[in-house]
Amino acid sequence: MVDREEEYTEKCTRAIRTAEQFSELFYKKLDKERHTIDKMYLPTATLAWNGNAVDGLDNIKRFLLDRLPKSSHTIHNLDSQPVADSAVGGQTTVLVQVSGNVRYDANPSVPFQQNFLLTDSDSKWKVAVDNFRTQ
Amino acid sequence: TEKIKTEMSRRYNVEKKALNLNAFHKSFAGEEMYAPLWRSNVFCKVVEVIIENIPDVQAIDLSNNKLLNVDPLNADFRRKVTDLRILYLKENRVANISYMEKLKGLNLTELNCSGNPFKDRLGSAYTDRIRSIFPNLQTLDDKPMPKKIGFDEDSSPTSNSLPVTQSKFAKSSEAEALVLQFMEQYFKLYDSDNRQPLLDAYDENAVMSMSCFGGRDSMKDYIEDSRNFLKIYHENRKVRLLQTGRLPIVSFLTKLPKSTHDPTTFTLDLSFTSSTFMMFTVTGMFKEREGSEKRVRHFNRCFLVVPRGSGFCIVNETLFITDPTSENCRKFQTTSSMESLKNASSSAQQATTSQEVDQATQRTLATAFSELTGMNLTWSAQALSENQWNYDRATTMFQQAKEAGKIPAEAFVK
Repeated sequence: MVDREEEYTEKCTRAIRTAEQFSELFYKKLDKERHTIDKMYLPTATLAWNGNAVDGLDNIKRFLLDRLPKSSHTIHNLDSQPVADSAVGGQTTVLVQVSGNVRYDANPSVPFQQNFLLTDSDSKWKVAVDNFRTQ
Repeated sequence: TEKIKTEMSRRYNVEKKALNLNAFHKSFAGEEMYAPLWRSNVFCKVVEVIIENIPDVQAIDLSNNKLLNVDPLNADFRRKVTDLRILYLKENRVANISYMEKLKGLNLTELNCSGNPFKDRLGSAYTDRIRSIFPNLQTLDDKPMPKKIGFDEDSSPTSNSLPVTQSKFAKSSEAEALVLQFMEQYFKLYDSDNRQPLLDAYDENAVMSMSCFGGRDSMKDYIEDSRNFLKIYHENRKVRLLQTGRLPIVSFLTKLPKSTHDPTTFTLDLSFTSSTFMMFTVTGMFKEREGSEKRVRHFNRCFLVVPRGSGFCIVNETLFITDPTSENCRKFQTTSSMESLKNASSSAQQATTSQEVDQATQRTLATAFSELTGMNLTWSAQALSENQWNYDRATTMFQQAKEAGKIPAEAFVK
């Protein structure tokens, strides 16, 4: 009983830590080093931008570099959970929920929410799913 | 006027469609009526005559006329004299390029402005400024225009390159149908007075967390349990706020204000499907049914579900609540129908083997369909197969057939 609790707390804590580190790195890259952000995605990742699907790293790279204007994100909400083993069969995965405001080019900022599925790929956290919605 | 007209026709070369108004005043030297082009009434008259008689003129020489500006070549002129390609303005007195900018719209291929004070004034900027007024110019001051070489910088993305927002996205349209059905049931229960039946929607060991963002006062019903890492300093609290197990989860949900969701504001992103789990995000608005304020809220809810029995259950869920923007509020309605979301054209990603629905999915769909229609598994699978495993279509077909009394009793024998 104690073991399971400990294990659970450990998983939970790791999910929290991962989310905190990830969100800081991700949005910094997105805003200031866009050309390096592709390294954060799995080759088979899916990005859904306001309901528009972008599949695979190549397409995601192209979308982020050619279609997404210069951005400036401010994050004000962060939450995360370890994903159930029954879903991912032992493949360590974290669900992240982010909320904030984003400004594209010189346009006024708009609120947005984003969900990520991060997974352990060779001891590196990579984005498997990126779901973005402006409010 | 007649004299001007006569003189002009004398100076007009019909073959070349060229009008030579060079030193126009010299034609009237010693005459009773002196008509120099630098007098604006004369210039205007000349322009009138051109428009009326030779609107198809291609070349005009206005050199040596002491012209301070070319204002009479106004918008009306440019609209009616559309074939004009060559313009000579040598040895005049145009002092500023802004006078030339008024000619924008004239599609010139050859221009000569030498001998005008504005040319010297501009120095090296002359060619570029002229080019910006007459982009198709090929010859300037008797010399060919240098080739324009620019920079590729203008191709950086702007907000115009962003795709249009779609309210629905689904990795697979079969899964989409199941998810929509799940959503309909879930929100019906969530909006009712008793949220206890939601227990069935959750896995025994599910986890769920809620976070919110907004004014202290606005969020007072949610802030106590808001799991926003950016606002919590004690690590323990971050861990404790994760609701674990379906009983605690549902009892937590029961504590939240009663609601009425507006499905017309919903978006659905079914971004991951596999044989072991699906992930989908719903966003939209709901209104609080209780309390003095009865506020409208915007939410973002992410569900991770795994198959269970004939359907599925939630293993992970994040719920985020915030205040709506004024744009959001305008769209809020008090309906509860999911029709518009169902009918929204989604950018459904068909699996690469799109017509082939794998065995496992077939079994899931058949079981769900059997539960929905009351038919046995064999008949359910048959109905689905006949409709290419399109769940929605099979449902519609079933309803129609049932109403028409076309379904035999044996279909319902389990």
